Amino acid sequence: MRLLIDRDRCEANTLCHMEAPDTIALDDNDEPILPVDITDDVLPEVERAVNACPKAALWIED
Amino acid sequence: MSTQTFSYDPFSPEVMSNPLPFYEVLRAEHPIHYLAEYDTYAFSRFADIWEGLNNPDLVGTEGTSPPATVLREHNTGPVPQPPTNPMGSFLRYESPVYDDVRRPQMGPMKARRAMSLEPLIQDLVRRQLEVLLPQGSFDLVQDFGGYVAAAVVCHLVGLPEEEAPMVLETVNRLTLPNPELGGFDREAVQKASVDFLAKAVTRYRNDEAAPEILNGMFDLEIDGRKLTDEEIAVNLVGIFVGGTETVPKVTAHGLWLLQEDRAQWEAVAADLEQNVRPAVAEMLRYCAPAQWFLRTAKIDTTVAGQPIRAGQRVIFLVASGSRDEAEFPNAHEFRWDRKISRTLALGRGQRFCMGAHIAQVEMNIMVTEFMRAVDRFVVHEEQAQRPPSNFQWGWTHVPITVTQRADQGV
Repeated sequence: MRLLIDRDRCEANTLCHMEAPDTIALDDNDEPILPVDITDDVLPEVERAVNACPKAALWIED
Repeated sequence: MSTQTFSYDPFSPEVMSNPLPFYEVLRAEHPIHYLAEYDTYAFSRFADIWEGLNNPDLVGTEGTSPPATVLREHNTGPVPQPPTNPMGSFLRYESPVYDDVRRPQMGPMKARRAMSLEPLIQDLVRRQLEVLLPQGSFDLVQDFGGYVAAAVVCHLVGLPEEEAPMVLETVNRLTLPNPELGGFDREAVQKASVDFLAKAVTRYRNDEAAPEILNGMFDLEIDGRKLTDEEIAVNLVGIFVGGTETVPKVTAHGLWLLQEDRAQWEAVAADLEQNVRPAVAEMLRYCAPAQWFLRTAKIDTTVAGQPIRAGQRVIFLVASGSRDEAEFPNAHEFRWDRKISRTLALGRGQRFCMGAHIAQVEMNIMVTEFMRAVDRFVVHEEQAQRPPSNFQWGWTHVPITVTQRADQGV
């Protein structure tokens, strides 16, 4: 599984990073450094991150 | 309210005075409710609103809180966005124009940048408490949060802090519903706010020290053309109204709820640094005054399985979604430590509240500093006001007397 992002939507609200700080790092513009591979153990926090994004810019690909 | 006779009209006096009982019936029995008079579908459940606010086929070309007079005219097809010369408020445009105008305004309001405003906001809050606490009695909405929020708006758009009371008064006067229109008087909001903002825009036009938002707007080109001072002012009205309108109401209502339930007050006060943040999230869920946002379908689409034809409208009752038991157990109760994993209190999707981060910084600091300084207060409930509104139904006046200070002698 991978976490993907639509850059046109991202607005650096950083809520994804707050939900999953160890999986989702931020770049110098406060945007998440993605895509990133997801393991089962971090899936719950990554799902929370997807939910937290107010711009709905994130999704998980199987 | 029996089911047979149930009718929901967002502009009716009963709904505008207290929409909550209507929302309960809507969620339980009519989660997708067609309003024939307005050719509009009302969605009241959290999950449906969560989905719908993300639907790119739904746009803001008729505005997101139009008066009933606009909605009584039905559309036979999509509503085109306005021309860009002259450029009106970006709130009425689709992508990419909407996003192009939003981007320069977001700069200083992004999450981390908002946090950098903490010292400025803390200073404002402390100064205002130093003025208010010796008076003993004051309006928790207007005199406390209202002043602070308006002063931050002044900072963002380059108006002197002395203008804060005038900003507050202008926004207050203009966001009350105008009964003749069946909604708030959008034209009047626009004009008074534009006049105010145009002063700052003109003053900074050729000034290197212009605030970042103004500089961004000076550089912005729409369809290959830079915007005039008036066009820029028109496009800053959202910050002007949004930044002043909501935070004071939520903060005052939230502090009032905590004061009414001393166990919750004591629990939050026991560790302000840890506990104010979740308490503010719950205040936003429980007290946020925005009732609904309208969208117009630009093509045939569906929301929660309901077909919506191009030109038809939907209203998303976010205040109902925030009380949906399916998302928030015992949703009618204020619980400072509620687990909130998803929220609609600040909107969602393309038009997510631009000032969300600054609003939360303001509220965190105001609640913290107030609870640090005040231990007990009484609310003069007979004078408290929550005027009927289809748009922003919140406490506009909460007169209090501080009866016990926490910081005396410290």
